[in-house]
Amino acid sequence: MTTASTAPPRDPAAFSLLDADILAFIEADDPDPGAFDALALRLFTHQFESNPAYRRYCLARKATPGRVRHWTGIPAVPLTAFKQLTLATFPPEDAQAVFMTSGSTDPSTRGRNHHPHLSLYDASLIRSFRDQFLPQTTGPQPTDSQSPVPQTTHAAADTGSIRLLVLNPPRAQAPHSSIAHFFSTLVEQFGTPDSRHLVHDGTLDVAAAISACADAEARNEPLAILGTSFSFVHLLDAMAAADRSFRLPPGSRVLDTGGFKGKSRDVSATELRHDLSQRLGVPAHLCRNYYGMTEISTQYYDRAPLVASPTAPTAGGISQPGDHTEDGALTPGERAKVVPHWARLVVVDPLSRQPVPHGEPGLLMHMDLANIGSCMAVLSDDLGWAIGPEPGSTALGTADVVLRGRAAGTEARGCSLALDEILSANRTSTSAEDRR
Amino acid sequence: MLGTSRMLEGRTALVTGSGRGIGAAIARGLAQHGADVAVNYVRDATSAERVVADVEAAGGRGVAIAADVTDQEAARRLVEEARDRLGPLDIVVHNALAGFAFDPRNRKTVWDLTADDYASQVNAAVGAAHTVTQAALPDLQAHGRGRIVSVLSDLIERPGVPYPEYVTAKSALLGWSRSMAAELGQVGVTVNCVAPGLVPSTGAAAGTDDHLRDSLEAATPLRRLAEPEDVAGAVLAFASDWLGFVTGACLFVDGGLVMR
Amino acid sequence: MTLDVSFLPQLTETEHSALTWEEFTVRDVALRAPVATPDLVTTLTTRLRDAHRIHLADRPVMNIIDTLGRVQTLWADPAYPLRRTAEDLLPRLTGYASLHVRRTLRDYLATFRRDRLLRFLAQDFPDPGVLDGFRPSPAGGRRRARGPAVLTQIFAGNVPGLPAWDLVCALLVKSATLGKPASGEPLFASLFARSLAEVDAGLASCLAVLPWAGGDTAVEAAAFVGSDAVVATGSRLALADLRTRVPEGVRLIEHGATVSVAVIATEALGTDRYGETARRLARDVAHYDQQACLSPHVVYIETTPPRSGVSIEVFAAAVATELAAIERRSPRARFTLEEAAAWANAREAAELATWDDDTRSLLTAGDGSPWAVTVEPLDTPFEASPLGRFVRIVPVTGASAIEGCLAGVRRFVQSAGLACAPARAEEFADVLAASGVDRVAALGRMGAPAPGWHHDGRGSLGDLVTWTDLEPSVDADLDLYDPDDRSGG
Repeated sequence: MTTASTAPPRDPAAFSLLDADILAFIEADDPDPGAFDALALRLFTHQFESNPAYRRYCLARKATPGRVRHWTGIPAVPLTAFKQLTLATFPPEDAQAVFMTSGSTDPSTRGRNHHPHLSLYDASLIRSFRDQFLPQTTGPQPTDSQSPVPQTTHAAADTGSIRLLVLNPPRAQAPHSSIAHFFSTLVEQFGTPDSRHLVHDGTLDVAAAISACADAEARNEPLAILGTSFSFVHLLDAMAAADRSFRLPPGSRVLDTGGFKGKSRDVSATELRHDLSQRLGVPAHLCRNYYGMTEISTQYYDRAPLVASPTAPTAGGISQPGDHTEDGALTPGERAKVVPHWARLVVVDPLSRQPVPHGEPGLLMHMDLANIGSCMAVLSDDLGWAIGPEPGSTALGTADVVLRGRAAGTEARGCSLALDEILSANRTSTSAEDRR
Repeated sequence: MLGTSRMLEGRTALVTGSGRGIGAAIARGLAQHGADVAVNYVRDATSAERVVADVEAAGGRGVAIAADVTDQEAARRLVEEARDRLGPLDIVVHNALAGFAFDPRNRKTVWDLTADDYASQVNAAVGAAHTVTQAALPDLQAHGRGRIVSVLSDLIERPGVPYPEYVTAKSALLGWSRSMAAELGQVGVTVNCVAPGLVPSTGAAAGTDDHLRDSLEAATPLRRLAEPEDVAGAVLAFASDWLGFVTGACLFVDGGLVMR
Repeated sequence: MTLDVSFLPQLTETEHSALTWEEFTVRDVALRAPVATPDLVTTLTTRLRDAHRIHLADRPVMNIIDTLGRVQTLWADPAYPLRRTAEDLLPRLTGYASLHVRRTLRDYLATFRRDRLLRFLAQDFPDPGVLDGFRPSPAGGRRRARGPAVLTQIFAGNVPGLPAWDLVCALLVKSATLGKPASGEPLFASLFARSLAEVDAGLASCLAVLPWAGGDTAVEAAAFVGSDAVVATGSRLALADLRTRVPEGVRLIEHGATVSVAVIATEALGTDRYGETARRLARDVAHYDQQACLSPHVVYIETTPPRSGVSIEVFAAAVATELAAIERRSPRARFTLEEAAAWANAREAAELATWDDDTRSLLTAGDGSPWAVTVEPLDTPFEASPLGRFVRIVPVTGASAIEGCLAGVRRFVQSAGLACAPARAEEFADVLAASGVDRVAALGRMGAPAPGWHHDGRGSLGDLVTWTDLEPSVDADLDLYDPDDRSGG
């Protein structure tokens, strides 16, 4: 499949040689694994030189282009930097897009990620969608495979398109939402003409969703339903209330994202997949989830079908007084996230920022070549751990990663007040003081 | 001669008067052990750029910054520019010498000197050290790696050839350094001195004659005169963690001529 | 050999050996305890009620003081085996540095000395005889005080050894205790109970220590039903949950999470004083890594003209240097992953905030720094520290501005450490009291409350008892029924 037909138009003025090289790397059929480091260092040099706020952050850490000799030495900015600073490698008013966080944790300040153009953003999302979501997986893959391209056949290989139902407003209604851009781009690139967005003015059109499913069932044409995790819960609730369920035709699939942070209900990924299979007739291995953030430009799809659990969890370098016995392993039905070849996902100690051994929990640090407009290196507040055998140094950050919650808003040990307890007296949580 | 290591990796140094001579050796030595170095000079930009090239060749980052540190405004600008280009400072070496030539035959004696001669030397030495230190303190303090090293002279203990105004100024710098050690210990900065013997290869010592060299060598237990790298080694030790628990000290680097 | 952290002398040997045991590790220490069940807890509260009647209800309070004083004498011996066990295991269980635990434990154990217990008792009961029988009341008539017969106590885990004090309080008002140790420090309650058993087995039979998972509704329901009152320390969320589950008629005495602050007057920043002031502040900040509610989150520094002494920036650097020195001898306890992330996040936010605001600064030793000191803008409203040796310095225009700074935490603020000239102490104390502060200590002494401290602003012992008043009318009007009829005059 050629990429030229799907690559969006580019403004030559905003598109540098470095952009072109990264784009070629993202789109390469057989990418050279060694090319990542060279591109990362070039991108670091560019961002250091043209992003004053990032430059200052790096200087305080004595990390400069001459000094940093491997991508692991590139300083990762914390998420709060996207709120407190303007992290842009170009005049922010020239941005083609500014994606903002939803502000779910702190409405007063929202993280902003500036994009001079979306060529790399779109190339990243299209490549991952095509590699990870569109293929029809034929059975369990070998768990030792780090290949981002499963052995598969494409569901829509003949036409390259599939009917998409998006449980999310279109881009025009949410110009600062990276998720809206993501879904709209997919509709434009892969959607058949009868693809639709089903959220308008914040309301999910349940009736339209149900009739689209019925229609797909009747016509025996595969359907892909995309949306945030919570929008699927709404849909499933509505379908249950209407007592409707479907057996969508073979090749149909589901993609959700976002999880349930800050929402009134919490549903596990496994439960959601189970409910989707029951209600829509889409087999679990075609119910997919991806992990992404406004602050980066790459998505991480779950590895499907299931990955075997690794061996027993290792004792962490970080103490676990709570009930974290499940750390380091996958619970039944849980899926790890796949890292595409233009990104690295490193699990680090929050204080030292050094990688922790596989199986040990830490914060997820992103190195994303597609994130050209701000900082390629971003430290998230998501917790997780890498699985599989310990890689050699050249493969660091390429192993699958299990996500397990967020670090924000945890309670301190003692009777002294935790930060959040002052900030919000009505946080919902169980008795956290004393669990053994 | 001074070897290489990563001992000072991640640290940033400012060496005043490091375009050539002892200061240049100190700058190179710091870089060979991992530091980034701001090379300060007054006139000879070509020489300073050569030092910067050596610093970069050693793996560090270097910048050459012209500034006469006896000028308070210039001294403050020097620190600001170093910080801006290399990041917060960890190490400051006071090495600049305010226009003084060692010439035993043409030195000023007590019969020639005026009170102003002393004032200008003391002002130059202590004033420069004070201004640069004060400007750098926000960087140096609190993180436990702040290091200040002043380069003096063993003449303060053994004025074999009396240069009264020069020795008075260097002695003042010793007093200043000890006071700083007491004051800045509370904010986690060490302040030490290195007092070299005659370093014949430097421009300032050009007037020293062979007779004096021979007699100094003969009197020195280690049988030779100091080289810039000898001085740099002592500065490196004070800049490193090895002597991180030493402050207020003065180390004589003169082959044992002065023992204390 | 795994250590048993339960203490259940109420059970017979047969009952004891029939228990189901469970082993668990806290950090690297292997521990064990019986599995708590509603039935077991019901048995314990019943037996505690019996033990209370037999060994405690009629025991004179001075006898209790004497007994506890003898227990303290045991602990005062550095070679006492249980003290050695505590000194060995508490650092391993909690992660706090051995040196710090040894020193604070030593000072803490001294607070149980007989003379201090007497003073402690006198703070709430000027006439301790009211705990033994009816005594004359200052208002006329007579009165006596009774503690609950059986208490369920849910202990805090943030400060090693703290449960001993809760047990002592209960015994002083003649209450038997079923204690639930915290997951983070499950050891000391049982050690203290064992030491009491060595001195007086009867009194020790009024204590039971049994761990269970916090929030286990079935076990806690049994415990609460079998108790006359519940004393709980914990987060405000945990307490709110508890409040819904303690049955009507059972008193709940809460000790919720609180925050503390420090106040430094301009005279404490004099060039000849600021070093010592910084040293004292750092000591309070490092006290159990601020995990106890006694350490300051924020330090208010008076900037009222005429100012003398060093600048706040220099003082902050001195505090940072003291914290660095403390780190060398008593390293900070390891964080949990979540704590580490929260700490790093607060530190980074503080760093970035300095960029566009010259009034702010951050002093740390890089990304992995084990401490952080920030300087914030004038009169900044209270913002909590993420704990773990992270302190915020806020200049204030004057003493009176402190009340405004603390407005947001008026209901949560507890201790204040004070450094000022003696003549000005009341001026500051008045402002602090108006701000909600219930304890003012000298800076450097925040971690060691005086005996008789009104914990959370209330009587520690007085809070536990209920009073019975024999009103003056009983003496005056009941003469009517005196068989030796004096009514006719």
